[in-house]
Amino acid sequence: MVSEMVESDRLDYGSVGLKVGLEIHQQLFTRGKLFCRCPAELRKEDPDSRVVRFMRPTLSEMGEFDPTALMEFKKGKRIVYEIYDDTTCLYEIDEIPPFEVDEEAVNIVIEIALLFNVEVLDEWHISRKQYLDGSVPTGFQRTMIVGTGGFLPLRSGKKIRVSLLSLEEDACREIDESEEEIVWRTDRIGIPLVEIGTYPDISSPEEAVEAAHRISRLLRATGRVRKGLGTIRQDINVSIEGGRRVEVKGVQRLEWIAPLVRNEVLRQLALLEIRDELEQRGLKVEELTVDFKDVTDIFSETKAKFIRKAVGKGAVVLGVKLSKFAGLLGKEVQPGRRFGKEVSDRARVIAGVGGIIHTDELPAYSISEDEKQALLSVFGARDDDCVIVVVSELERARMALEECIIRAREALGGVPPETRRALLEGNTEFERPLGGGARMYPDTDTPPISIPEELVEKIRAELSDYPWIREERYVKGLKLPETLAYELAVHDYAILFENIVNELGIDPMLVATTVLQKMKALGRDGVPVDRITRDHLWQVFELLAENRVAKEVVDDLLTHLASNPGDTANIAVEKLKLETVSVEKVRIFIKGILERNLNIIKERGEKSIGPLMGEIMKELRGKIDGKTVSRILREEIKAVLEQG
Amino acid sequence: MDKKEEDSLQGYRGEAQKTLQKYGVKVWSEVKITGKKRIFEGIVLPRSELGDDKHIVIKLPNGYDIGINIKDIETIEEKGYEPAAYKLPEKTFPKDEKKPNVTLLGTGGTVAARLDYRTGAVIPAFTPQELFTAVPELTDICNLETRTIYEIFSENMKPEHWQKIAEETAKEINKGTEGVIIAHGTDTMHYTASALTFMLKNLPVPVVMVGSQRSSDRPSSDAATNLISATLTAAKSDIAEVTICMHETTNDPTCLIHRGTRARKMHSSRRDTFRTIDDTPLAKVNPLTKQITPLRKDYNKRKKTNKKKKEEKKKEEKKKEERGEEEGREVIADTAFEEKTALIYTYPGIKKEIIEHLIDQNYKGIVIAGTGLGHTPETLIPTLERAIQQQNMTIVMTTQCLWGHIKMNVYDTGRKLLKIGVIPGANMLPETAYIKLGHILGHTQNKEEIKKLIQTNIAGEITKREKHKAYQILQN
Repeated sequence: MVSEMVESDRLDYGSVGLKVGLEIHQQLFTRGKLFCRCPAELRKEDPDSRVVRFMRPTLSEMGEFDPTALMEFKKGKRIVYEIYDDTTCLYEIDEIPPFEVDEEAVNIVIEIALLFNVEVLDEWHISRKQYLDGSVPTGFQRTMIVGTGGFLPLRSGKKIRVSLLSLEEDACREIDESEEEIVWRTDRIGIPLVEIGTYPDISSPEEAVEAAHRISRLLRATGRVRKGLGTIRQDINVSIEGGRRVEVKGVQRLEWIAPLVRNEVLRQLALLEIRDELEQRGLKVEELTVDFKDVTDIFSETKAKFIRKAVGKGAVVLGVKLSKFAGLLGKEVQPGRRFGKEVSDRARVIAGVGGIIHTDELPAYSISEDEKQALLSVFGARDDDCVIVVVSELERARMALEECIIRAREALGGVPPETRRALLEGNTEFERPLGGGARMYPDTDTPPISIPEELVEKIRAELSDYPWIREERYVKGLKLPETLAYELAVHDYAILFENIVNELGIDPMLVATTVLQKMKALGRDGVPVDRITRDHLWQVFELLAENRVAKEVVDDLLTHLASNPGDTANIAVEKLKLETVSVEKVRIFIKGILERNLNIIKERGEKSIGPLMGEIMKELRGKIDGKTVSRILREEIKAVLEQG
Repeated sequence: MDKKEEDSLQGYRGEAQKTLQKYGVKVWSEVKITGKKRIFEGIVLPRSELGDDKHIVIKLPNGYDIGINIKDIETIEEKGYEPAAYKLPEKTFPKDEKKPNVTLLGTGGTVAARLDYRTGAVIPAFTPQELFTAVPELTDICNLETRTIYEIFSENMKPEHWQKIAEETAKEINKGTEGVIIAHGTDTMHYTASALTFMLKNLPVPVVMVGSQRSSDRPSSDAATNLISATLTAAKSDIAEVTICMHETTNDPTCLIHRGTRARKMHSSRRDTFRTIDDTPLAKVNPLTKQITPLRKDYNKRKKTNKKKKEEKKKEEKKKEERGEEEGREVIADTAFEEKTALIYTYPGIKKEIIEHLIDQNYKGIVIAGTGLGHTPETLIPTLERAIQQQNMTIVMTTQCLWGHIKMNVYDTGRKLLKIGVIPGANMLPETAYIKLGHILGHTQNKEEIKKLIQTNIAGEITKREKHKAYQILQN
């Protein structure tokens, strides 16, 4: 059914009450990290040392632990941090309290906040947000609210409200995970991040894509955020009427957003149908008991090799009855993913046991019809019941089935609130239950940060337009082609481009092609263009504006400046002898040449232009364009001939 | 403002305080603050002492804290009030006869904590129930009793505190506990460890000091690992000395047991801050495998009160008592301490006035953390001479190098200091020498005896031989 709906695309998002909110995490482009003075750079080499730690869940005020945190802890998994002598310090391994917050990051995040129309607070408080997976060596991420309010306008004029804009430190990168340990690299931790969360004001996949696209364009346009894979991470919150908020994490590409939203809507609709069906069958929560039975004996003669092999190694086949679930585990909830997968995902993620088998799908996997019947009868299953089994070591099997029961019970409520991981084809899989409120408490190591009003106002005064407005202006006002305008609007040189065009009066197309295409082309030819500064570019166009050089020499100038970044464009012109000569000077120079060559003119008449041109251009190449020279030469030869 | 009201407005002063008072709200009030531009709802949090008097801090429903400038506030409405919640776990832990009884004495800092996520408050957890809930591994090791003696930062400890801790420790041991753990702030833990070492005579069981460098409210805290290791050491090890149990390295899995008189806090923030100086640690503890690995043999061994033989022993003791013999397991808290003892760090250009002041104040003894082999600038010598010869003061020389022995015969200045009567303190750590001198001066005024005691190794504070391996900061 789900697949059919995808095919026919007949979903009416308005009537299902779709609500989508976005959470975007973007790394800021700073030299240093947020709370220590290490360089913000990712490492490829093997680490210099490793540190081994354990995370312990902190007791809550009620004298309880968060169950998933406790389970992680009980697994006794070692947490390993990879460190580098030259780019990580004691802060990254939680051996020293934080240093002062990075000033560059504060400035950038204020600029971003203002772009999102956020009211910047004048005192920021650092909070600790708990993470127990080891991704942050302290066990908590330091984060602070920058401001409140704010919105992002869509093309239609609709405003998507900003619920949260915060500045925080990025976490470690996961390098490896095994049964015994999880390995994190400390290069990424501490890179400043801006988190932008929106209210669920978005009501269609298309709007979600547009909003995400605009947010990323707006961030890019500052020129002060990091680019490349993993520097921006988006989470999507999706819910429909009657469903629950589900958070989809790890959306790395904008193209994923629309199918993810659509498939999540379909999933929630399907789960609601399952709920309705269970209600109709009269299922009560109490009927789903953790009444596990060891059914290993049933499979003593089995042809299913995986069971024989596992049992040979000490595993058991443990089963439980899911009352009134017959047929439902096979129901499709996402394109190509059945409800049974949702149940087994949970057992896999939490208990680490793969492969839940349910009687609905049997006979299969070399499990016979007789074995299936034996299973059903051991549990006294009726027609509308189903039995699930798992093959594993007893304790783990028990944990896995407990999770299955929890998931089955949740089916009575329709959609469980979950954090789900984005998969490639627009589907998602269970990651963890959605926490209640974030587990946060004040950071006692840091004083509040005062943000002077003058700083905010200074940044506000320098704020640029929305990139989409800039883009429109480039196309309509400056007549740039759309592709060029699109690229330029978020380019680091956008402001420089506008200043050159407005203040120096240079042809926009020439400036745009120079800063975008010419620079790229020179780079491809091996010119170290990254050494060309904004000042260099400005100087080159200034020379053009003053007609001191011809546009043909821009390549030569840029190439020279890239190799000699200490030079100014003026010096480059001198060194390369590229200065333009005026038409008058050229005329005088040509006249001089002609006087010395009267014989040739008399001899060859107008055809003498050929040999003379060559001689003249030897002197003038790069200082004036050939066309002008040939025009003057022609005029002067004519004059000489007319004079006789 | 009375004390109660002050507490209810924690950290707020000046205008911010007035604003809170005006609207009748206090710390932990649930409020709705209507501002000129926006409305905030949340819980009023305590304010940092260092904060200005212009902001009110609230915790928003999303967990974040924000500071609201009072000039932006139009009104505040109290929606409710509920202080940081505190509910005891209902679990009980019956005494297990097979497990040793261990006492945990608290002196400050938190060995375990709980978090109130609603308010963000950190609440210390200390009762056995709380500790067993927070660190369930402890239940496998021992029966635990806990008692708070002080709640002070370790930098505020004074000789009177060491005396009281020694007395309380002795009391617990003489009641029959099989090990004592002392939870202590790390800053001056090595001073207390030295003091207890000298004060507790005839110690029959382990006394293990423990602390943490990362507060116990954070998931990465070293407190639990240290506490489990300390508990193992107190309950199971045969080291009947005052020791310090803290992380071996920056890695979590192992702790070291340092002899109290040779340990020193060597890093302001690292977990492995405590190092055994100029010697090797006594043992290594792995809280996961519960293994205690001795690194040497020359420590005082536990005097067993083997439970099986308890009855037998009782009879024996009774006989002994009848015979008028001293009971073997009893520890004596001999806590006399001369408070007019000072520790001075010399430096180039130090002025003699510092010593003169101590003379004027009638000090009885000074430990000098001298340079190199045991030197001070020559300019101090006449003053030191006067202190020793006219004021009868005891001056002990140690080295600020921390590693290595005092050798005052090698250079001229050293010889001059020796000549006026400065006592070379072998390779005692300056802090240990200070405690030892105070302890000795609390007992005797006899110059010869003082000198002899200073130079005699009493509790591992002086090592006769200096091992090559002893000069290592990242030990093992």
